[in-house]
Amino acid sequence: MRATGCNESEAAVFAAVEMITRHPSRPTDAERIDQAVTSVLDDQPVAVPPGLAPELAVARTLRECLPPVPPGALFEADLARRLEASGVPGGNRLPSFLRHHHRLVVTGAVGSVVVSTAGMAVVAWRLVHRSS
Amino acid sequence: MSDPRPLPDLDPRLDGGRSARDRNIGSDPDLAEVQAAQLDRRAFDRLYRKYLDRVYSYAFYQLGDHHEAEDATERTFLAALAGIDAFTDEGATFRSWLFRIAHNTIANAHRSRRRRRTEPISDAQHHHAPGADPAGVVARADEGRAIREALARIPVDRRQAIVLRFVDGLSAREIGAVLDRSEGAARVLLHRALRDLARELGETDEGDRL
Repeated sequence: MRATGCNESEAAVFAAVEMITRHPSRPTDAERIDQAVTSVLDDQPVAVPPGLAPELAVARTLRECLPPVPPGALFEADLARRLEASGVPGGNRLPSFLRHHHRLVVTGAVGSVVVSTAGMAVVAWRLVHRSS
Repeated sequence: MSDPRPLPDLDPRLDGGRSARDRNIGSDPDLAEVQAAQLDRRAFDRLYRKYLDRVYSYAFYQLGDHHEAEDATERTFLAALAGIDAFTDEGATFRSWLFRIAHNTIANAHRSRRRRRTEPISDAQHHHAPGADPAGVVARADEGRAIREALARIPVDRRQAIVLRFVDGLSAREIGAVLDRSEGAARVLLHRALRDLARELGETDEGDRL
């Protein structure tokens, strides 16, 4: 379909139009399998793209057999604390006993019990010895 | 933390020599939470809870070791929090920005430890529904083991693309942003990865299990 009677630039335009008409853009294999994978991941029905059945089979298997791996609960909590400390100005510079205030509470409770018990023991000893 | 290993190369805007229009990825579902975290660091906790499992999974499937994955995950989130002010809504989504940090962190871990793993993902846990058919559970476990072993044998960049797509749920465009490639190149990478896995697993075009 070579145009006659026109200059070179017009001929180039005709050639480009002819090429586009003859080879309309079609999705590539990569685009077709990506669309199919999106449907698989969304649990939507999907038609097998011609020539891409093995890839789609693998995509379905991956969907079923490649689970997220959750981290341990201790790690999650520890990192949350680190992030919280990092996000607060001066958070990392807090003294250890303030960053771990639960230890302070436990230490105080245990200390209180020990002092109370000792005091009761002293009072009991003195009562026993006074009566004798 | 006195670990001398380098922090990841932060590239918050994911420039990579591309224009803002090239990097346009569309609306970012995390934008409101990111802006809240930029105003108040404590709001970062919501993003942390949302993406912890995904970042940890990405690290675990690449490094193959729970301790190394924890280390990479910790570095990723600390770096993200430190650099959250640099994130701008110029096309790249927050999660592609976050996974870019994770990607660089894991690359640094590989470089600094100077070792390549060939069996990195053999003990991934699989959760089954209560009352599931035992025969089906066993068959699926075998299938899962086979595909994880096959995944360990394909090139690293293809494995990364597969994990980002199937475990972390990123789109081809976001995967391109993480791996510093175009959207089309990311699609080709995924296609080649699936083709490699199909070959490793002996899938044929004549199979009727489709």
